[in-house]
Amino acid sequence: MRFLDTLSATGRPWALRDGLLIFALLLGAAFAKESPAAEVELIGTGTFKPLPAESLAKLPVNLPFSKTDLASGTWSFQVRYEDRTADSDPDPYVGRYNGAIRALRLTIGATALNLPIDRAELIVSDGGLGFPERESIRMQASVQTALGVLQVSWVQIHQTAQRADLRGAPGLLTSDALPAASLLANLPNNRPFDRFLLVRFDSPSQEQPLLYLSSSQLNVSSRPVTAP
Amino acid sequence: MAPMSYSIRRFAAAIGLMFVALTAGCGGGGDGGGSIVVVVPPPAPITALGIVLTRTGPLTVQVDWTDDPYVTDFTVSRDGYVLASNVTSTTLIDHSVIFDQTYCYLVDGYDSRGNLIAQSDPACITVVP
Repeated sequence: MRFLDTLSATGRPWALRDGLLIFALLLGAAFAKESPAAEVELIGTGTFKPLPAESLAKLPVNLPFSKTDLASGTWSFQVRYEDRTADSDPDPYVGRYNGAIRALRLTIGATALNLPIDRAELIVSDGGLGFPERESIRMQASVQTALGVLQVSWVQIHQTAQRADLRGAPGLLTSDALPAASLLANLPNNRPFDRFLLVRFDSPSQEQPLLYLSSSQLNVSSRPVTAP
Repeated sequence: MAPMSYSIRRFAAAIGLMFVALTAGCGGGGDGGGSIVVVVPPPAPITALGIVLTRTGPLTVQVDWTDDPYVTDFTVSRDGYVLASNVTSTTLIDHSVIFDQTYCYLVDGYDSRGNLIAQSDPACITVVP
């Protein structure tokens, strides 16, 4: 106050007060933008190559999805994640955002399955994982069942044919930070098959998966989750 | 497959080109009338084949492509090397892939005389663990 009084004596009190007010407003706006954690939802819908009849016949009967579902050739996924989660991996080129995924739902045909999120992972690689020429975003979750492990993954890769170094500024991902939702939905890539939804069901007693579905035919979008 | 129809198409194309060549020669106005113009039939345009790759297992890539009525057999190449030739179906399963490698597939279609008449764009897939 004394400082204000001193300045007030100079005949320019309003300029300082206005400046402080603007500064306070800007500071408040900055905190208002940073502080609340925001949840984002990714929604992907698409098709996969339906299993042929002979493959359907070999499937165990108690899979989470019926044979009609698996013959439908249509599927979708929804992932809800929190976009302020901290990176738990010290690797400067690999970000692991444990706990970021709050919900993951897979729908095949007419059957929807909510996967538990305790083993869900969101991994961002900015030329890490031993591949400097490759950037990737992987979201996945798995669930243990009596038959085996069901795993769902949404994987996107951006890579160059040449052995370029995409770490840092040269790539689309300039760090291992959690990218914008638009990139988690659609990371640009050079090849149509460098983005895919994968569903596999592995039995501990079998070398090959009981079920393996993968498709790049997906439309994925993102949107902020609004409070109910 | 309709090789007879294809031959008729090629013959018609050749006649058409010959007609154009002769017409051009007459209209030139020069004094070279009576010269014989030999026209080699142009190769038939190469039809584009659609190609789709699907991971059907951890170490399995299925290659599917579209058919063409004039093709009698296909050749599937991977990274420039022939993976299978004389293929008469429109699908092939490649079991010889390993993790973290990128593979580019290309399908060529040949007619009954062995002419290349259809080809896909290269399609590449990375086998991510």
